Amino acid sequence: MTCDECRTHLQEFVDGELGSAEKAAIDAHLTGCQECTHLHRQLNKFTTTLIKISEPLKPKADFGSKVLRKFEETKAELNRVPSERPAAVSSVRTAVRTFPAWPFIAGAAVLVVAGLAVMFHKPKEDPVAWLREGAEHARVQVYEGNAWKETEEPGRVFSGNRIEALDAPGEIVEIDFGPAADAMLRAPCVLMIERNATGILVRPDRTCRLWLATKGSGSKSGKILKLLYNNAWVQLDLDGSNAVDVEASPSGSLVVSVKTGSAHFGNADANGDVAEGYTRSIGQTGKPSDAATIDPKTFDWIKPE
Amino acid sequence: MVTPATGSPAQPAWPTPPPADFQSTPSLDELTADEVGPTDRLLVTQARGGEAQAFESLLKRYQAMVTLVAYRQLGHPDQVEDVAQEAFVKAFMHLEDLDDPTRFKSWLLRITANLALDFLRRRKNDGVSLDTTGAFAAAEESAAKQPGRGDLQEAQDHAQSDELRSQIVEAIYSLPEDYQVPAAMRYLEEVSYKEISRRLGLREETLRKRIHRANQMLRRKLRKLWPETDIL
Repeated sequence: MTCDECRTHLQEFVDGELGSAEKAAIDAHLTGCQECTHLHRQLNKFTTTLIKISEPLKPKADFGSKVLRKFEETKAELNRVPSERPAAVSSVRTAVRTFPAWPFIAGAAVLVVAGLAVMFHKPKEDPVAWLREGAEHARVQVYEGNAWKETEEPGRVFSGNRIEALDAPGEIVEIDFGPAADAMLRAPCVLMIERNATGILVRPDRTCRLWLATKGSGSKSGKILKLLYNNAWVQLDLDGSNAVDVEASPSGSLVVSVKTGSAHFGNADANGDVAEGYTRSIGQTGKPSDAATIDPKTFDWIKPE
Repeated sequence: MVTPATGSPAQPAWPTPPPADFQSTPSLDELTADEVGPTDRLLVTQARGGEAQAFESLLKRYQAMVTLVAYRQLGHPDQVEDVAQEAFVKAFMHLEDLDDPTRFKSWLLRITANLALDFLRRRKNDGVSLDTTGAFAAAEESAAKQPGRGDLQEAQDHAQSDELRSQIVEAIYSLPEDYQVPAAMRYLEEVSYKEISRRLGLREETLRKRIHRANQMLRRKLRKLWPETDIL
């Protein structure tokens, strides 16, 4: 067994989750490998510490049965209410007799409240995207009270949220747009994501390196995945299968390299298409240049382990 | 073939504010190929139909996570169980109000957090100290009278454990969604991999990868908080 193989299964070994043959193989490896033995010791202590410190929070064995009993009792309580209703109704009737305007005022109040609720109620949308591999390097933020704040739903990106990956240069964060598309961003990067009737918009606000890929849903939705970098933009047809490597460069231009399919691009002055295998540099204004390159030696989107 | 840029006008500006009518992003339930058991959507539908087994499955699936969220808000293990139980009862009583059954988990956790906050507010209004047992204050007082006694040390250890526990809970809570619940089950409940995958309806292989990854992420997060330790 190699060290890599051993380390892949070491957590399962510590958790007592391996079969006897695998366990014996790891035992044998640990006997002759100091580094893996050290790691094993660390993992063992780490796991034991976590479980020990979390002990007071361990749900008791009867947690579920208590909940279900309370649930049944609450339901039964509610079912008893109708037998008490006549008394409540008669007291309301008394109130109506003594003050005939009461139901109209109450009705008007209900209508006002309902109207306000309809006006201000904004149903929660589904997320636009989910962070997958590398999510620990990124924070999802929402703009509230004049500042970006971390959301309460880590890993889920709703329209208008932004993904900030600043602290781990070189790390890759995978973004899952469901069956529509995938993306990867390379830290450092800050990316705002929106969804609207046209499709999905990603908006880097600084130098960023991104991989965008549409999966080709086969439908004729006409929706797009668009990246907007101030005035420069590139867009992919969500109905087709396309992939681009994009660099929002420090000079303010977008460099777009089409790996699969094709992309549409443009800026304040011009727009056009770029086909598979070609790379374009799109400035904020003027005619895009075809002399651009994204150097594969610096980075080639090899996925993290 | 490459079509050169033309001088034609740019695309129309991106319309704002965005109308949220683009429906091609589905719920999480439809995304994963890793699921082998019932989804939340199915369990909620069955529970609404009165199937007792579905309630039990939802309980088993989220009891650790609900406990974790209750603790996160309360900051102390006392009353966590009461709040967690109340959260489930409230959620089960109001299942019909849940518009999108695929969002059961986030809805349940929101109920839990709100109940915990209500609890804290009530305590504050009642003028009760948040040091629920008063153990720390009592031990400090006792140690002040009789220096050298172990009570203060005990209370300090206790406070330190509380802090470590809060950091662990926070670290688990900040994991990406796919990793949160398995990690909570593993470390809070000490459930076996097989049982976690059964409760979550996940393939065991998928679960193993998630636990492995969750563990890596937790160690990385806690390493920053516990730089002195030799266990990370």
